[in-house]
Parts: sequence; C-alpha cells; structure tokens
Amino acid sequence: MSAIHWLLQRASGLALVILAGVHVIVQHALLPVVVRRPAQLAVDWLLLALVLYHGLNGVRTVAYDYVATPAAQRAIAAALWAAGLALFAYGGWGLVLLAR
Amino acid sequence: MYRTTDEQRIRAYAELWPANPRWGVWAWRLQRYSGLALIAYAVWHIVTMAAAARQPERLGPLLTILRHPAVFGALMAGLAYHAANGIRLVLFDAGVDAMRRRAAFWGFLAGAAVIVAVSLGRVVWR
Repeated sequence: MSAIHWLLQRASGLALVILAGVHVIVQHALLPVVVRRPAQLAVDWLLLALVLYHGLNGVRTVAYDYVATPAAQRAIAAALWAAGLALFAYGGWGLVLLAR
Repeated sequence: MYRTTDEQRIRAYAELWPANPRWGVWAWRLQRYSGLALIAYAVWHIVTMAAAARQPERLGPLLTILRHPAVFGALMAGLAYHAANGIRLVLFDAGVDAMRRRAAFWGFLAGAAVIVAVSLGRVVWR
C-alpha cells in the first residue's frame, strides 16, 4: 500500500469510529430518524464515502497479498474504484430520495 | 557436533503447542475477517437501502432484518472489535506503550458494549 493510502486508511478509520458510532446511536439507541435536514444528508454522504473508501481499500490490501502481478493489481484497483464510485452514486442518490 | 539449542527447540515446539500464543497474529487475522465481513455488509446495506428509497414498501422488511437481535448483535460485535483493534493499531504506530494500548482497547470495548446494550434494549423492547 502506498504511503498516502496507508495514512488515509487510518484517518478514515478514526473518522468512521465517530461517524459509524453516531449512525448506530441515532438509528437504534435514540429515535430511528430518517434523514431530513441538509446537515444530516451531508453527514450521511460523508459516512457513505468513507465506508466505501476504507472498506474497499481494505479489500485491495487483502487482494494484493494474494496477487503479486502489477498488471493484475492495477486491474483490481481499477475495478474497486469503479465499484466504489458506482455504489457512492447509487447510495448517495438513495439518501437524497430518503431525505425528501 | 550438531546440537539443538533451546531456542531451536522452543521454535519447533511452538508450532505444535504454542508456549507463546501469538495474540498479534490472531488480532491481525480477526481484523481482516471482521473487515471483510463489514464491507460485505456495508455493500448489501447500501444497495438494499437505496433500492428501498425508490420503493418505500421494501423499507419495512429491511428494517425487520436489521433490527433482528442476532443480526444487530453480530454486526455490533464485528464493528466494536474492528474499531477497538483499529484504535490499538493507530496507537501502536504513534508509539504509545503497550499498557495504554491495552487500556484503550478494553476501554473502548467497554464503552461500545454499553451503547450496544442500550441499542439492543431499544431494538428488542421498542
């Protein structure tokens, strides 16, 4: 893993401890609220983006332990980026629909 | 003459009966397995919730699954471990000593257990 991804994996992980914690508390411990305000939408988008980055970067790290060929590694990275961006678009749009 | 040193003997037997159970290796493996399970869950959660946002009648059954105590409990256990061990890992890289790392790991898990217990209570006896 390159240095920037190594750093971002830790930064996003620490941010997710807060964001995922708040998400669980808000959705279960407190009242289950559906996104209504722009600020909530922004927080949920951030959570969505960070979960996808952190999670798929983790998958990439695991995959690189089993695939050593540079070409194959580049293909895996590209596929994960495509999947991540598609999921962010699909999920992000879903959040907008839920907020209406 | 070739003689087996104590160190070699210990190393050989450690493979059969680990005198020193390598917790670090298990912490690393668990971090990996819990992480893979969590991203698989996250992708499922994103796809199904986004689909339910388009067809609101799908939201009810989905929330029933998410609020099932076994599903919710397993998810929280995985999340709590992954986060606690992640914090321990960041502290390790920051040069924090073992005692404080251990305190942070168990302290975080204790805090998470309280949140999960309250959440489970609200999920079950809503």
